[in-house]
Amino acid sequence: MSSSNSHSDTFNLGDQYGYQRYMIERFIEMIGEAETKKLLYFNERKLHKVIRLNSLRIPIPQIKLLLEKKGVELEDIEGLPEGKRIVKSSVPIGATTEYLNGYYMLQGKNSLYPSRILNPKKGELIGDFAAAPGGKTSHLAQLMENEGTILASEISTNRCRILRSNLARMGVRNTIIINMDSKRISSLKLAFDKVLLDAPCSGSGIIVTDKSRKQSKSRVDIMNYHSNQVSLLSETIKTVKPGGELVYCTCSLEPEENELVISKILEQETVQLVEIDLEGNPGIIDFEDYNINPQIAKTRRLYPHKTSGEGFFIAKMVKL
Amino acid sequence: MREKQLKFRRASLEEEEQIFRFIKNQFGALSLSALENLILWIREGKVKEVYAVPLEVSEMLRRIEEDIYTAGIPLGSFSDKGFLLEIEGATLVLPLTKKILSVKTRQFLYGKPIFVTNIEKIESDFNKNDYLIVIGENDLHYGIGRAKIDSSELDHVKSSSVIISEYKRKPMDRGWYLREENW
Repeated sequence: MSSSNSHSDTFNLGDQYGYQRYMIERFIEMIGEAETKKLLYFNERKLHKVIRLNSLRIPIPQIKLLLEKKGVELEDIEGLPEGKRIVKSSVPIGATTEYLNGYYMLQGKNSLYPSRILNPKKGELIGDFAAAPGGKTSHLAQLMENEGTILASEISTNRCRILRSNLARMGVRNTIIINMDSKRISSLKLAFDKVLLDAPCSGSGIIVTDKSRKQSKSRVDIMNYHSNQVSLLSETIKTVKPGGELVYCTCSLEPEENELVISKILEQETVQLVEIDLEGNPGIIDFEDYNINPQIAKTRRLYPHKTSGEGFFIAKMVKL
Repeated sequence: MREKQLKFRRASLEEEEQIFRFIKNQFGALSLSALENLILWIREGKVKEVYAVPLEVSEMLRRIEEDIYTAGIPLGSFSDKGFLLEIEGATLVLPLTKKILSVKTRQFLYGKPIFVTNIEKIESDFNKNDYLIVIGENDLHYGIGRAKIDSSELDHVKSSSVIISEYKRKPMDRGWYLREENW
């Protein structure tokens, strides 16, 4: 088969599944033709639900036992002891009494990594910016065993309400929620040990769970996200103490929202990238005509079809 | 100088006293130890909400002062009738009290009342208007409610008699978390 025929196959597949043409062009540029097809097929699949068992309430083995008694079949996830994949369930997993008691949180598998990579410790001051709905915040609290302090910021008042509700249900007590634009947090004059910034993004990595993302964002939107993400990350760095660490992540696959944000930040700020030990691919250093810092290969890209989860980009930095 | 209007502030001594009195009177003196090492803060809004905050977090709150939405565990709220413990406050007190009503069915989680026939067992006697912590399957926490009759009347009233009424707009049962998601 000729190359142009194979290209048109992929575009046809994209049309059939309702993607915008520009998205397919970019996927091909990022991962090639064959991987793009695999990604498109994968995005049509139904992902197994993943839950995070919450040791802030009761020990993990007890939660597992309670769920198994209810007919919920769980599968371990390598490297994530608190994460379990739901293989089979005879009960609605988002409405059990155990759920209402905060024994677990429904969370995408790959969204469990950023908190683990940040590696918060008891007694530290941790920032979680753009925190709602609180999956990662409550995960941070779990890793800290409810000790130390988390400052969780959220610009939307309505999303603050959702954040409060989730943190209460999960038994989180070491967290302050502030209803504030994360870009203003430096005005508080705090020096965080570590910060997690899960930046607002186009969400092209979560098409597998939200099909509307195939049509909802344009190229212009992506560039707008890029500008916002650069300024958000730049302001975030101001809040971290020297020697402190930060994790930047998005659920987007677009280089403008990921590698190009970090590349720009490496030019502007006194931070250094830290190698991440995680499945997935290294960050892209060759895309379109962009000049991307080769250090970006230390970041990680989690493609849905390669990691059986939602798409994610994760970068870890230390402030010098 | 104009006094700063705080939306999130430390509870006053009088407010603390009301909270302690409610918990002690309803659930016994031992249950007060649930608040050890926690500082009480108030969120002023349409409703005056009470939050229990660890010492370290409380110190940080004093440094921030503005734009605070909430912090720590939502313990309960004040109404015209005084302080009332809500779901998370009840969860804190649960291991330290015998004022527990165990039920066989889940309807309390859907904002429905508890009837005599729904009762599995009671841990201790109670009086009309006492607050009881409700638990169910596998001793899981369901919520908190106010008794409509004395426990001594349980064997004499009709099976359709309501023991604990439903609460529509207050976080008194754990099903609240699902109902709140849909608002």
